[in-house]
Amino acid sequence: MKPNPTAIPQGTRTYQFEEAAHKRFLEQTLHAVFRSRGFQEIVTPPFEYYESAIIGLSQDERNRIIRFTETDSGRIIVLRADITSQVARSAATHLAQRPLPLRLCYTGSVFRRARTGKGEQYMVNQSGIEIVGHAGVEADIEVLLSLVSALGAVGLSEYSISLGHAGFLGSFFERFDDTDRQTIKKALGKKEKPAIKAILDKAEIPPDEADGFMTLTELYGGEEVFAKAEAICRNEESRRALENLKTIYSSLCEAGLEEKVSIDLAETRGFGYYTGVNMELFSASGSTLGTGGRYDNLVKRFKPDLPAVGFAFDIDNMIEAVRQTDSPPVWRGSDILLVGAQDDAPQTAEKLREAGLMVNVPFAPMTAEEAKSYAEKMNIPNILIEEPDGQGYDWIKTETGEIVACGLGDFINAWFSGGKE
Amino acid sequence: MKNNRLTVAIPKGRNLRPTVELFRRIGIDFSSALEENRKLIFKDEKTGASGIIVRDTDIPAYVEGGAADMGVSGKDQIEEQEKQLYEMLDLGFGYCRLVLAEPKALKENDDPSRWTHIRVATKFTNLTAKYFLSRGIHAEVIKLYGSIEIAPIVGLSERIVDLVSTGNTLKANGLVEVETIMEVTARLVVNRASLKTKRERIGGVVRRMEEEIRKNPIKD
Repeated sequence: MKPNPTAIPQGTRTYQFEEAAHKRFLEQTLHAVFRSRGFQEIVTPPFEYYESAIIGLSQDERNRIIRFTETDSGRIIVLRADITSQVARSAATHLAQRPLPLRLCYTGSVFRRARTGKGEQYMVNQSGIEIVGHAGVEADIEVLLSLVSALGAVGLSEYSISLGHAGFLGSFFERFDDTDRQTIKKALGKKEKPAIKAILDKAEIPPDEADGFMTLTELYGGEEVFAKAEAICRNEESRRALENLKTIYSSLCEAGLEEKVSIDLAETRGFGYYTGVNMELFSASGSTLGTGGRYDNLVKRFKPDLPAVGFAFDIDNMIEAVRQTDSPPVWRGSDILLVGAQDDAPQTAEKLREAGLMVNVPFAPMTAEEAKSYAEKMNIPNILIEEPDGQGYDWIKTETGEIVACGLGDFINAWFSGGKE
Repeated sequence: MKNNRLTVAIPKGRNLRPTVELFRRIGIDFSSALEENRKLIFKDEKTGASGIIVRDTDIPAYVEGGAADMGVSGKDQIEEQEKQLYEMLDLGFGYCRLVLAEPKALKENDDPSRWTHIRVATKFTNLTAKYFLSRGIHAEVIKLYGSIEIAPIVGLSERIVDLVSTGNTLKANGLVEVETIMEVTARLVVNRASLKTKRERIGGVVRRMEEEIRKNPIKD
């Protein structure tokens, strides 16, 4: 078969025009929200050594890393699959001398082999935050409030946040060997009672403990979950985890988010490095908009032992969700198509640009018809066509075709007094 | 969240009737799914729940993608497709087994413990590959979409992996079972986000179904 030079690998994509504008709008807005809350940007390299990349990743995640070889050394290089662990490494090394806590934010892509037929992407664009060096619940709450504030800024009001806690589940898994633990975690993640029961029976777990375990699959919902969960706590760690989660949940309720937040204590998804609260953000249509959580043992793998918590938005799913709202972000190719009759079009365009407008100046003269057809295709709402004598303009509104004779000043005034559409 | 409407993916085929019966018992009327009018989307006016009728193999995709909040799917398809779903109830009906089978003549002198490489025809390529991989056997898996049983007869593969309920089809084609790979029943699958955003509604449905099945199992 002849190679197809226009093909792109499965699971990658090109963003054009409107899509690219929405991507930038989201990344910019999220970044601005993070900066407004004191987060500092960190930019990490898109590839790194395999040994450092796999820290904190499960076997399945490791298998899906995209790798190649460094020519000089023969070492394995990989495309980064996770930015959080890179940030953790930075926090442990270059940033170690800075005062704590570190509030960090980032925007970038992560890569992993997509599984076919699952609608997965090779490349996932993320925008996220991490707070490193603060173990208290204040940091978890700040991460959650930051993400809520970011959602507001991009115009998403329909979403739901699901909270779980790795510390709560820990004690339930202690008595199983590795194989059973994997199986039971997987079954719990799917709330698959029959599979859980089979393992409990096989491991001969005493009935009261087994009942507690089965209850785990039902620990989802609101406030009421905490009482049910307390009844099956088996040790101090679980109780502390529950207290911790309750504090977080109450502060979100105080912030008026009760309707948006739910608890799911059986949730085991996400990276294996989470030690505390874990968070998953869903859109109204059910896609995952982001995930996060507390990972107190990740930074110390690179030395100084620092607690940390973070969250990352999935930009592509966010774009999708924002486009589905009643007021998706406005996109236009330019604000004006400026067709000059004299040699002064560049100067005129400059004046309009100084006033803050996006101006497209064609290289060759255009008739009104040509200008209109071009502006329609490129989504430019206004056309200014200079009169042949250079005395004023015909202002054509692309959508309606309405023509107004005006001077440049008139146009700028009209623009700023609300005639933007 | 404001949207509290329930959308259910109902499978065509053998699990259709038991599924309609299951929902009838908890007060949701999907009986129009049984009518011959070929309407694939309909609504139970009393509860406001919508039903969509899709191929049984497509249920996990509809539910994972959020096009339906919940659905009824065979365990075979759930395992084959490995979608991100909650698998909340074993509904008990739709029982069958996924088995490895081979021609009777081959079986007589066969010792599965010596296999290193086998050729298998199946609809369930993922499950089959994983099953043999976990036992250290390299399986060359040939994907077929139907009439799996004839593959050994015409020499496409030596063995097949397929669902059996009575075993009559195997027998009619001169095949015998070698191993059961998994036992299959219908499961209630639920979209992950829906369980959180419509938790009262879906939680209620799940609890009532669980009770109903415990009291009086639904038959095929």
